[in-house]
Amino acid sequence: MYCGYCVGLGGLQGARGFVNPCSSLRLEALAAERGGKAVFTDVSVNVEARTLLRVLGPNGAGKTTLLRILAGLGAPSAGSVQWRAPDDSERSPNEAAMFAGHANAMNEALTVAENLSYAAALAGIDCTPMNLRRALTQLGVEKLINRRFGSLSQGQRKRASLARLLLRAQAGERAWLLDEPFVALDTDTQAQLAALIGEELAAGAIVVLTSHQAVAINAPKMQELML
Amino acid sequence: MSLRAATGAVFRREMQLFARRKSDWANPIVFFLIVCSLFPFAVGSESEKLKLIGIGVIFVGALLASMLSLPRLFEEDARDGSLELMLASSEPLAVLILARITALSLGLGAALTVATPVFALFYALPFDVAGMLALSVALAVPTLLLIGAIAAALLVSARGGAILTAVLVLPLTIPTLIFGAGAALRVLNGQSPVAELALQGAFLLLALALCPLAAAAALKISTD
Repeated sequence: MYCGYCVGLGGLQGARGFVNPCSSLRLEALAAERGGKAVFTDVSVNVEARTLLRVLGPNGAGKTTLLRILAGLGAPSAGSVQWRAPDDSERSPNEAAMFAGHANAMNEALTVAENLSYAAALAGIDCTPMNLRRALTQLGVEKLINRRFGSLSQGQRKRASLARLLLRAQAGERAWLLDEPFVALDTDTQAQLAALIGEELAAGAIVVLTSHQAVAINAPKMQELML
Repeated sequence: MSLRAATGAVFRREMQLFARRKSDWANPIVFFLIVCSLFPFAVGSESEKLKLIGIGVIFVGALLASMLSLPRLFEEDARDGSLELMLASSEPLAVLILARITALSLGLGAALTVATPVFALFYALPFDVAGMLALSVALAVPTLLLIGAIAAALLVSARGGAILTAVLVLPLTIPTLIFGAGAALRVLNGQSPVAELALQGAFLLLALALCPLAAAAALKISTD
């Protein structure tokens, strides 16, 4: 079904100003500080398209800090982050990646649809109602589309907020930066999310993941980064 | 195109929230009502005395009422994580913040502007003075929200931010207060309020140009 969309939307690429998938992520001698203390230093890694990068390390090792820097939400104290398109031009983190952190980033007074279209607009994604419905269907929460976010259960909230990652016009268009995405999900949903991550990777995306849970993900290429 | 979509989304969301949560505008109005109705009890019912203090009381009441909605500007978004969507966006943060304040000013400003002439009746103010006061409030509320956005952005992750916001913002609103109340006072004395209104407008324009940039910088500092 997923690949069906890739093929189906292929013809629209030119018309919609489709952006090529990100082909590489490069960290050079990256260091970060929090409250004046070094969290990690000298992190260098090259990540190609279709690669799952697992960020490992104990609590407080700076996994979230690293992801926030990759998403352009924080500045490194030294070193550089480069997201590159296949034509080797540099891209801003916001164009290249989507970040899903611990918080859901959804307002409780608004409906799921309102929240998601707001997120899409700020991420520079042209979110059609079809994309929205498809994203929610993939996570099995299409019935919640017009429900107020505040009226959902924790698990439903997590699923609805993960739908943000699937709003892009085409699979693999954006890298995913996932901070503990499996927390608060039941086993079925964990497997479902793992499958979605696998599909995104297969479509050409980079996925950076921190997780304490050992969920099996079918990745074409896998790299590990120990902080 | 993408900037238009992003600012449109920010504006629309603020309006949706305003419509969805009645307390957002009902609380400031009720607060405004209480402040305005307490003074006549304390001062007594002589209409000459009331007329004299009425303009000042109503104007200060409106300023304090709009202060109430300042913490809402970023704090809630910081808690639920949606502030990060705005921070991570490739669109200029200052423009997004401006869209947000514009929506809030339209909603809250309209509510306070409509309430002002009604409350002016408590103070036996003539209609032309009440009308001028409403106009002054309409100009002052956006100015205050723009200035307040800087403080709200700086204190987004600070505990007890509401009081600190008031301490930081209220001194900066003194010029607006002087010329806003001054315009209505002129009308009360049968003079032309044009100079005061023009100055108030100038403050609004200055705030429009500078405050979103300052708020964006403050927000980046306080969330990094």
